[in-house]
Amino acid sequence: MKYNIRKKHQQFAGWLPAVIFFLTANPGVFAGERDSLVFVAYGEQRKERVVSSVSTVSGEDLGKSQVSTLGNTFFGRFPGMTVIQTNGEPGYDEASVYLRGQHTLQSNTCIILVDGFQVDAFSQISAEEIESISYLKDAAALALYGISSANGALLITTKKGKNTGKKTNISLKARYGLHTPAYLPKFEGSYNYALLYNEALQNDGLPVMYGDKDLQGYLSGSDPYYYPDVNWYDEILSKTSDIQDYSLSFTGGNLHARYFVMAGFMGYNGLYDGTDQKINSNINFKRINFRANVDVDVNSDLSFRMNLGGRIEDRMFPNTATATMWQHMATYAPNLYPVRTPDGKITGTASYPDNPVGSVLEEGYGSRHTRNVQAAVTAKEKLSFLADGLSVFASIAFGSNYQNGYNKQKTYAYYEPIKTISGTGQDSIYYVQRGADTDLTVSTGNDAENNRMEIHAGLEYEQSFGQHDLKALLMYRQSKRSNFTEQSAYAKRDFLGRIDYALRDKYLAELSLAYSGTDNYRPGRRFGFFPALGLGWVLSKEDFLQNLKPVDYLKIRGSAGLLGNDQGAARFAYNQYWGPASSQGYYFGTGVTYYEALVQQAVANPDFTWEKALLYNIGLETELFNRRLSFTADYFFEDRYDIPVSNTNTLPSFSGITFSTMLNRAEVNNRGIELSTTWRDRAGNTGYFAGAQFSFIRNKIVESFEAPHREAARYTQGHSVGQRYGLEAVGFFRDDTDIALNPVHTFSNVRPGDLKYKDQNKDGFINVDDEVPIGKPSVPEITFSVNTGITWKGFDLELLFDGNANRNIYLNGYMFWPFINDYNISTWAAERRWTPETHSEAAFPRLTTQANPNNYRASDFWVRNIYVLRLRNAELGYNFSGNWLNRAKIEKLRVYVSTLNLLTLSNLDADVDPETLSVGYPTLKTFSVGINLNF
Amino acid sequence: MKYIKYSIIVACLSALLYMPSCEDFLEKPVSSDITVDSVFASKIRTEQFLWKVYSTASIYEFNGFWSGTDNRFYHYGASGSLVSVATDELEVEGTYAAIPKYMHTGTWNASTIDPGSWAIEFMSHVCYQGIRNANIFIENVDNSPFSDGEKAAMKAEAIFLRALMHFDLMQRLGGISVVDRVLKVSTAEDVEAIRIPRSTYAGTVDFIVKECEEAAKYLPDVYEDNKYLGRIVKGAALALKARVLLYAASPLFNPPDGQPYVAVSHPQVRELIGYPSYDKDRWRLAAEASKAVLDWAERESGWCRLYDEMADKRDNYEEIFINHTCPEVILSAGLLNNVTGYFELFMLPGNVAGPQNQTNPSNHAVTFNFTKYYRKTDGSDQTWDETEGQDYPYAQYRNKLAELEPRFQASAFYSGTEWAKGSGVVYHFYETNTNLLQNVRGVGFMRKFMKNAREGSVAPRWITFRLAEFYLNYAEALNEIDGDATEITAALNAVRTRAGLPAVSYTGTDHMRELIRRERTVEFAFEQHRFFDLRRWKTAGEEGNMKGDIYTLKLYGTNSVQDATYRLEKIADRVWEDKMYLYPFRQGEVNLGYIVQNPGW
Repeated sequence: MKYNIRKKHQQFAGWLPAVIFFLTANPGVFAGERDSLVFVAYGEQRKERVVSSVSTVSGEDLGKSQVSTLGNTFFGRFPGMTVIQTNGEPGYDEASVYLRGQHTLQSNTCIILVDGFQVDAFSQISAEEIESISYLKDAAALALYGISSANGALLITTKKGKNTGKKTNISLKARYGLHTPAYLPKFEGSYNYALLYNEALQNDGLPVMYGDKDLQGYLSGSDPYYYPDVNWYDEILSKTSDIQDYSLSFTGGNLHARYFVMAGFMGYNGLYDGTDQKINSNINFKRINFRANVDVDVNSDLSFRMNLGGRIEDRMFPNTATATMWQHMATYAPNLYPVRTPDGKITGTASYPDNPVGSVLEEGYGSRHTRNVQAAVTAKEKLSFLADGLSVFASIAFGSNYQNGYNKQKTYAYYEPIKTISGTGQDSIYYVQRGADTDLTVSTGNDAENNRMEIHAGLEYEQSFGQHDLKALLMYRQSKRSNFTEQSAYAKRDFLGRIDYALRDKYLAELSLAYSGTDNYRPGRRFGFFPALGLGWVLSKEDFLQNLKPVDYLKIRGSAGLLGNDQGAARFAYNQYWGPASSQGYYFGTGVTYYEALVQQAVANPDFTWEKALLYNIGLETELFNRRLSFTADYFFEDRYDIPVSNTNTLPSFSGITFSTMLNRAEVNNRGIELSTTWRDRAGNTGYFAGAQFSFIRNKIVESFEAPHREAARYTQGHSVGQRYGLEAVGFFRDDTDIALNPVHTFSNVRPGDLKYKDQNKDGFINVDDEVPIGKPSVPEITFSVNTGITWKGFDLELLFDGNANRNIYLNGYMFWPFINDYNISTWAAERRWTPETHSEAAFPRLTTQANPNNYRASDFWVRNIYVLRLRNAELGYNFSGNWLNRAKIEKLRVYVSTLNLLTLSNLDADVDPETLSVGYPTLKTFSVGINLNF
Repeated sequence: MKYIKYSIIVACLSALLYMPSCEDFLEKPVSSDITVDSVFASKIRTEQFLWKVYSTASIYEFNGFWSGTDNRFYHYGASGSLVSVATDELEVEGTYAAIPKYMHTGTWNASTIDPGSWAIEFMSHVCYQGIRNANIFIENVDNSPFSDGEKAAMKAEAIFLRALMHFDLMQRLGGISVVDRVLKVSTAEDVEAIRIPRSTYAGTVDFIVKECEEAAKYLPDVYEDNKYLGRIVKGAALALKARVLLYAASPLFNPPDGQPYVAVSHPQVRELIGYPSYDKDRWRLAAEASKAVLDWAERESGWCRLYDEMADKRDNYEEIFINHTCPEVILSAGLLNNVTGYFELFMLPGNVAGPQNQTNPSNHAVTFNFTKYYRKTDGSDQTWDETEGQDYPYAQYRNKLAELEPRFQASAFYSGTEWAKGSGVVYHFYETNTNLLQNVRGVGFMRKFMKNAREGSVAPRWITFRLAEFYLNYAEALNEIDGDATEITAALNAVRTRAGLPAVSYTGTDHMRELIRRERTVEFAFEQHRFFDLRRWKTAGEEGNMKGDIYTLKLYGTNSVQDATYRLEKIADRVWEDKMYLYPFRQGEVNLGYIVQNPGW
């Protein structure tokens, strides 16, 4: 096997020079092209032989972003992948990753494999242990994952040892960064808050709350206890906080054994100020990763591979939930209370007891401790005595994840300021104690554990017969995943086969077959057959293109196949369950004797089955102009059917069922294009490259099996998954005449300055029947990125921009509802608010202190289609050179500075971060310095 | 040597392959799951499932929310109150007072009766859950280890309960979808296949009657001891049949003029909401069915009789509702009993019966409109000559009410009387030390069902059928076919004399109809009969019934009995539209396209 690869390396040497050229200039920048091998399902393939749609990114590229979770390094790297991060809390900031958008009404979760074995989560694997990640997109690439494949797969391959002779390559990396929130909204101070609150009360026809004396007090700010003016962000957040990561790896080996050993540490501090991590805690995340991958050739036929990876994750956080914490910081009015009493005690009121400063400093902390181990052993034996090129292999893999929690908690006394007038007529204030100080109590819990066990065994065959190259795989796989909160483990079993054929390196074909089953379906209906065929044609090898100078390489490929998706399905829905249930029964007799009853639970669906996807893909790969320009394009169409939907919406009530049953009834079509291109060149001692990626993906619900609606506009059928519905706003009510002349708005009594809606069904009433589809889907249809770099002498500079568009967001909740529950008001809302004077240019409804179901509901006023463009990474590095390096036995020394999320550009007209909408922990902006040292 | 090594590898691999495949790797592990076979393989579980049928059935005809069982969402009453609040019988005041108002103000419609709404008296889909459970039981009970006789009797119970639920739907909706089998809902194809259209009204009546007759064949007349008090007896099946046939013969469904209650263009719709033409013979069927109940009680049951065992007529009447073993009751249902039981919580007035019920009593109060139906003990009408808005002395209020017949005394707790009889504690509502005056929206509070009750008292059983009904049903039906005058008056007088009123003699069909209806109104006060009686008599839309002005006698006063006064005052203006004679089907249901909506909705 290994021999063959090497042989093919040589064959492949034809298109290496360009790559090597840039590698010598700066290996770091061009790591993506370093290896011409592509990792695919249960194997690897030469890039030019690949007939399926696969995108690959190296671990080195991913490592350029200094973030705490792997998913957040994916931005802009893979064409056709949409990454959305809505929470920046260290350790809990997993991004949502959509592979080719949304395919189904059910779970869109993809499967993740590390070195061929499925794992539950990938987010805490360190980029330093990753060789590359392959994103498998089409049927030919995915078919071997059978029943779980249709949502796509991410294949993580970890680094391997190398034959380095006597030498060991030692790599030391250190990086230190400071971060701040990428964006924080701005709120009004106490004076404006009071003024606007009065205005809101007047709008509601209520008496004002703040008199002239109060306003004067807020304006002068002379008494910060009687007239507080607090910006809670300033009180809680430190200016910057830090993130640091270090890794040390050893790579080496000889002809008989090779190793890669790595250890890494990452420490990540949150933004809260003044904490000590003993009786309280900032948000804090520490992680240790280690890995030892060893390949041993016992003799010329028998080899072993042992991969061992593990990590320790420790998270700490205040006892107030992070989302609540940030809500309080954003919504607590500036004049609610001063942060502390004059003698330094925490304030609070009966209605607002959770002074954010108290929440951070006085309540103890919670922590979670996670331990994860993954181990896999593979044995491989050449069976040349049976046939040349035939080998047999077997693997066993085990993965375990364990979490426990350790919490320290206490309560504290807080003091409510009561305003009064003293005997001399002066403002005066006294404090009433509420709550009480308690000692810290320790509790443990929040335990979680899951284990995976997977076995592979099979035969491989690879041989060339003249012009014919043949490669075949026949394999058995079974896996079991257990979770200690669930009664029965998840069991899967697959029989797999694949044949690759190439004629003269020009005509390529790949047939994959999976016979794949799980325990979740009725006996006899547990297995499905998932075939896929991929075909490729390397046109550049044809005579008629041989003479066409600019074309160095040109391949077209196409694939079609049937895939399955069983994710997110209810367990054992084929089984009819009965059981006792609490307070189900009947009284008989003269007393109060209760006779327990038995209940028929959810009605079984014996035919329940997995989702199916017919997936078609065509693609083109080319290299032009001496391989300076590379270009890849893909178009796909997916017909996802048998999607489970609840029957309750469509069942007559007299069916009498209490619990819904899922039926395989819905259908979604998904289609899209993905383009990526790179230009690389060199002029003198300047090397440069510029690359761009673009994808446009749109889905449509073909069959939704939904409840009949009164108004045709309310059907989701024909629209995208995640389509939002709402009213169409046509402006603000000008005055009472305007209200009288328009249809009756039924949600609440409207006043001038409230939103006015279009009566879609022309029945004279504005109600939910007037809702229509508004805006684009919530998952962006378009994603794009630009990656560019330049090297000059020892310097290198690289920029990565990424963005998305055709995305719908809903401005909703406390950031947009000033004065509801006495929430704070943002400067943005204050400046745009409707008043009788500004009615023509107003862009925010009149202020109100009351719940306003007319204004604060989904409408195209609040639902916005946005694009976002971020400068995700920028890195400037310098490679030292000179004899002193050699004397110090240093192979390479590079120092660099980099930033994360430095710039954001968006058309969102609202004072919030376009990704998180400033709800919860913000996205972070990071400035880092780092050093890489290779011995 | 080399080959030995290969053999080892191959052997290992084979073992690896064999190990998982030999045992049911993909089989669900054995656990504590109960399957349909194990349910009906066990006597205990079979019984437990029958209790499930009971608990999801509509035995209550009563606010199920208070019953503490899982059909609580089936009847809300008028939510937190009795449906009598929607008639001229009662008014309410308190936390939940706003909710029943939807029925007064005409603001209910096909969308507000969708599930999830509290403002609802009744939920058809929960009713069908009970029907489904009954069907599951009927189809599987034969597999159980009971004897054939036991199986037949238990099956008959389920058949009866299924019929009762169909009746419950029918009396509100007219002809409904009859479901007499377990509907398959597990595949997508099933969903369309089971969209059963509405049966005609006639078809629905026939189905229920047939089911009652079937059940009656196998039901026992009595259960051995009181342990199973509340289980279905033969009399219940006969009683349901009698009530169904009485309803079917009544003017709403069997209109003498052949006209539906609202204009209906399509003849098919006409058949869904009643009989398209009048047939006097329906009254004969109703009369015979009611007579059958009376005959069963007298000749077969060995226990069932009008309760008339106490010298004091008021005590005697009250006993029917609080004595769990009263021999007049053919079918009743137990209610949740505990300190904070909803029955006490909602039903006890003001704070007379304990501090807990101050939180949200519904304060059911008897309207003046309804008070006027009660006669004086001598059988004559009370003189109600008050002019609206004018003050009259408190003593006159007390005297006039005190003169009313024992059933009024048992049913209303008015100012100047004791809550607990014989306690000597007299409540004057105008006094400021109680919260009674501000909470009474009637002449007095409802007292019936709650004799001397306090918080934590054992709740009464709610009565579905009691024998008195069949005397009055018989009299009513027989009167319509100009039956034997002696029989008519005998049946009517049986109820009157038991209540302490003098007997009446025959005075012609029309007058007798008036007497019988008034007797029924009084005898079954607040028992949730009138809500449906006014509909079937087609008199709900008459002024003061479910439409128009509702009056009270309101007290005003100082702290002295001498200075207090009362006034006749209007307290409500009820909205009624004739389309409300039948309920609408849920909009979500109509949207599915197989249900024809009732006219006007």
